[in-house]
Amino acid sequence: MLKGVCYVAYGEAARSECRLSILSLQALHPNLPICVLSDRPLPEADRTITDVQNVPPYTWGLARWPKLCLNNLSPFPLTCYLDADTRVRENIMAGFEPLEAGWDMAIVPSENQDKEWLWHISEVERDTTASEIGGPEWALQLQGGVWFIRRGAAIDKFFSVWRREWQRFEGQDQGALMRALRIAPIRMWLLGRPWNGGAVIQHRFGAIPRSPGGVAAATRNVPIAAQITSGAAPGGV
Amino acid sequence: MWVQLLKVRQVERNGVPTMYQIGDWVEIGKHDALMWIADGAAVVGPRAQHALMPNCGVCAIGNEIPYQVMGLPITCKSIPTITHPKTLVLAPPGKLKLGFVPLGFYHLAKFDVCVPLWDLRTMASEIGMADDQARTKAVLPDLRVPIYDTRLLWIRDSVEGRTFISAWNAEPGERRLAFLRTLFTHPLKILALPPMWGGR
Repeated sequence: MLKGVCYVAYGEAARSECRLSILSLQALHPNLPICVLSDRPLPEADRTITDVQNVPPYTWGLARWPKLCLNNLSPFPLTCYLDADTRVRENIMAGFEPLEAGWDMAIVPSENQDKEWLWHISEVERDTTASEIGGPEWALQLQGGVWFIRRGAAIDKFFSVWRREWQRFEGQDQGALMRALRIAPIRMWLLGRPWNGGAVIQHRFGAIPRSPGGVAAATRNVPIAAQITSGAAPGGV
Repeated sequence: MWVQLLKVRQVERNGVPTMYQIGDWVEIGKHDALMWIADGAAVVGPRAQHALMPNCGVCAIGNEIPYQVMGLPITCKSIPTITHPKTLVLAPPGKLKLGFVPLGFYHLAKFDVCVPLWDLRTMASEIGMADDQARTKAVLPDLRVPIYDTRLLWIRDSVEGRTFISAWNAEPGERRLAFLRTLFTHPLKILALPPMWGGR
């Protein structure tokens, strides 16, 4: 089954990181196809998708929405998603094998549990997540920067719920990921730390600057399509 | 569902936050009840326990019943066995936080099996004897994966569950690696729980 790697890179900082990640990947996998979702073509990739529908105009939306649509947008039946600020250091084909064995997704648990559980998301989202699925004692945090997915109905349902959950707070995506897993469970194989932030795939966490907070209140309740067609400026309507 | 508080809690009644004290009985939703029990903040009476955990039971591995588990029926077996529609398989010296028991069963509504991770660091490549490692390398594409604490496992009675348990019992050697080999070749909806569930 066709395998490939997808990145999401909007903005020059992300595109610059993505180029370096692609170079590291191609050094080990010169024939593994690469697709990038971006605002304009990235020559280092085999394909760039620039016509993602309904991308929110604010910065968090630029980074998150296309990523959460990858189940629909990826051209590959078996997809590896890599954050732009990763560097591939070892062969990654073993990450696809759980998918071929029948797993829907392969992902790495986070080292941020207990007191560091969801430290990087807004307090209101963290509290809401804890009340809905349990806090650090009851719910394992997962990392969202490296994962492998197998195209299919279960993944489509899961991603649909993930997008819906993300739209509640519109910041980072790990809280939404965890809530989505409880609502629409999938067959999820866990990989070890070397696969995200270790020997297989290094991760330059924080290398790409983000806007603080989340969405401006004025944009929160405006339909996304309307924001695009009205040409609304980021952070305002 | 009525619960008796072991910790002070605030509940919203008709939009008004109301404080309840230790010892108070409060009627709350089932989901909140499970969370509060897991948090050690509340207990339920025997009838409510049954309502929280219908068709649930414990399969204790070994010859002795280690302790009572919230009034649940306990069956002793020599190997992990699905003894009830929803079974908690408990192998010594597995540590059990009793408050987590109802929550584990609750998750079986959507997951085939729930089991804690051993910890956040130890990987399959680091445990077991040489023959365990060789057997596991023949199945898993990469042994740099977290391991599960298989002394504590919630599983529901289904075709997938029974097939999985049977296959796991047939695998030789170190139980946690045997579990991973079985799991890899029998994909399930598995909920990986934080290591704290296993007392680690």
